[in-house]
Amino acid sequence: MSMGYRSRRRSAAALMFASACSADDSGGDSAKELVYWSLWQEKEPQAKVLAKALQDFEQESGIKVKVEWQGRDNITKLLAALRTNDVPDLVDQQYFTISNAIVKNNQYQDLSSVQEMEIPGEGTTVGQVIPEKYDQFTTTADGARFLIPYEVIGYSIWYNAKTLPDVASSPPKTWQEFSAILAKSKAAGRNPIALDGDIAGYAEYWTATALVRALGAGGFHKLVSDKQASGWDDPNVRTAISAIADLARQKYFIPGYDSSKFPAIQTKWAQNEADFLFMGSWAPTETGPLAAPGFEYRAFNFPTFGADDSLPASVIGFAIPKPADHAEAAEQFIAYFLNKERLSKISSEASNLTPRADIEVPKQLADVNALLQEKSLSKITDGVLGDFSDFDKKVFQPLNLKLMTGKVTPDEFIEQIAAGQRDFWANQR
Amino acid sequence: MALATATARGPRRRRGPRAGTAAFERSRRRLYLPFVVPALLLHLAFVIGPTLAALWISFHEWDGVSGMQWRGLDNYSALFDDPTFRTALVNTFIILVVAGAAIFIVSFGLTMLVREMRGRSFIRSVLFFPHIVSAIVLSIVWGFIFQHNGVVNTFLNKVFGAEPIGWLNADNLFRMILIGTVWISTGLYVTIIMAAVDRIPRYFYEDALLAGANSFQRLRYVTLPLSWDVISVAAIFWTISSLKIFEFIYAFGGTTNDLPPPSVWNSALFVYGESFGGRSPSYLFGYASASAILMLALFTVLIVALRRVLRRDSIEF
Repeated sequence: MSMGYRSRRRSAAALMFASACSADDSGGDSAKELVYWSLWQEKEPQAKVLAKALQDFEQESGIKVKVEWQGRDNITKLLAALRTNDVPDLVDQQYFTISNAIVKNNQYQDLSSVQEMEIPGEGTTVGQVIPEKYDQFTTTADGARFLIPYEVIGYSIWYNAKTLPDVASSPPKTWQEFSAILAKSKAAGRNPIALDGDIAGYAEYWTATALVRALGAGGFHKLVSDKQASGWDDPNVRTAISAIADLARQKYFIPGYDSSKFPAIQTKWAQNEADFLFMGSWAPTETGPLAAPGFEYRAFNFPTFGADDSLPASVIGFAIPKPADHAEAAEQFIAYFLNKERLSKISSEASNLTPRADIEVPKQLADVNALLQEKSLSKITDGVLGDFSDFDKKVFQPLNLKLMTGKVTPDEFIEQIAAGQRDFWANQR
Repeated sequence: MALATATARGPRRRRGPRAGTAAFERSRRRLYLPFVVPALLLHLAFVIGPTLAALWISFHEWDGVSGMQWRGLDNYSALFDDPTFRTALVNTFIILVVAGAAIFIVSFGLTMLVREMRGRSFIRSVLFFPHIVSAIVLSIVWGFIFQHNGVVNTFLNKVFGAEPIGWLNADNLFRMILIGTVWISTGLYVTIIMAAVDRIPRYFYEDALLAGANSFQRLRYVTLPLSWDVISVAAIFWTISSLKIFEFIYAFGGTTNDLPPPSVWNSALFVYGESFGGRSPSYLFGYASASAILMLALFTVLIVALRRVLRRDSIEF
């Protein structure tokens, strides 16, 4: 029945299209046109790098490229487009946005063959230049590949080495060391931590990473997926939650973190009004224009509770929707763009990290890059934001904000999150 | 609205018309369909059609792409067990009743005040101004004004030496949204009510004055009864538009990529939050549609009831 509805809708849409406009859209006669819906807006540095590569690709391959600089909601638009005949051949986004939108419902194309493709101008294949440690972001549970990454994000704790030379000479590794530094900062009359609390996702980085530290990579994800919510009384969970609650209790967060508008607080951090900022590797580019003179961007990994010291990370990459008409052209462009010289512009011109270990990184990202090469990786928010977005948004994030503003104690948090989780799953009938 | 329906009803038949009028009426009737059909078709395609589609989708589980799974009324029963939806429902009614009452009280107050003043058309324009500017722009400005280091806290600190107040923290955010909504909407209702009050001939007020009526009695016995039809239309209008409030809450409480906290969602934000909204959207189209249909049904009942309650015989003068 559902298929019937869908095909009716499709044919109705096709009919409307056919009668409304001439046949310049979708179809065999424009076989050499590649349609790309980008997550970037035209003026962003990544867009400029991609635009140049697309232009060169067009000249070298003879394939005409049509780019739409859609911005961050390109995948939402893709979802709507999947019900029409007007689907782009190539899209890009963070891995969890792609997997959330088109992997569960099998609307992606398996890119395993792209792994085997030779990169134009190099004697190597795509699979050879992208390290396996990124596979956890780009493949499904049964091994299908839905994404080829071209930019990597590492999440670390940022500080200004110019004002904090002691931290730079021996960055904290454990939570105890980190707590001692925070206490010292507070005692010296400074604001230890900056956080734009109006972005619930930024506040979540802290608690989610603490839970990964306590339970290991995948531990928080497993905790949330349990319909009985039984894991929350684990003493390790309590340790992590208490550590986060303590930050609020000790008033380590800069005043106003719960009542400002992004990016007010991270700007204050860049102007030396707070010491630390837990943020993705875009932090230097985003805060750079407003940073205090001589600001020296350094970063260290989120401190450990003993065992886990993985680096929270994410990747941005290309995907091809299943109904794409020119998948082959899209695959060709992916391999073309991963060429060392072309991809290195993401680093040299857009100041971001790439998955290729042989590309030189911008100076301010040297610390994160070192962590990226050394450490094992875990998914940012342990993948909860992508896989359980409704729970995350409606149950976890609001309660987490209460924890991080000192409105609930660790015990109350654990009790309420477990109850909220049970109710949430019970309601998924 | 009222005008459109009145004209759409078409010409009345009269007995024994003269030949010329009948021909005129006939041609008018002939033109009736060509004029109505295009609008009707557009209305069917873009309003009625999608509403029926939403009703159909609301009985299913659907991610927007895959086949729909029949769920019957499960989406609706799940809504009542969802604390986020209950909060959104309560917030929607708080906006309707509390903000609505404030808007009408302030509008009447301003009408009474401005009615007698010189330069009132200028004042009216000033009051109307917030309604012209996009709610998104206003909400961003409000964010800057009321944030921790914003204009208001700086002013309070300079003048009174006050500690910064967390206007935008979780406890105050919804109150600020209510105040903002009142501020944005009042200008429109002042304009509507003032137009209605302006129609009332002055001699009623002069008569009331001679009879020794104070200003409250003049409001109670002259202004209200003689502008009641307009007020009741304005009340219906507010009810409908309060359900649709979205941008101000979205932009004031959220950021470019993030939704406001669920504690300040109204039903419109709930629909968006469960479908397309946020960094990692939920794509629960069946569930979101169920909430939209439920709100449509609730508000339809509410508006019918409101119209019955507010109905008075209109007074000709």
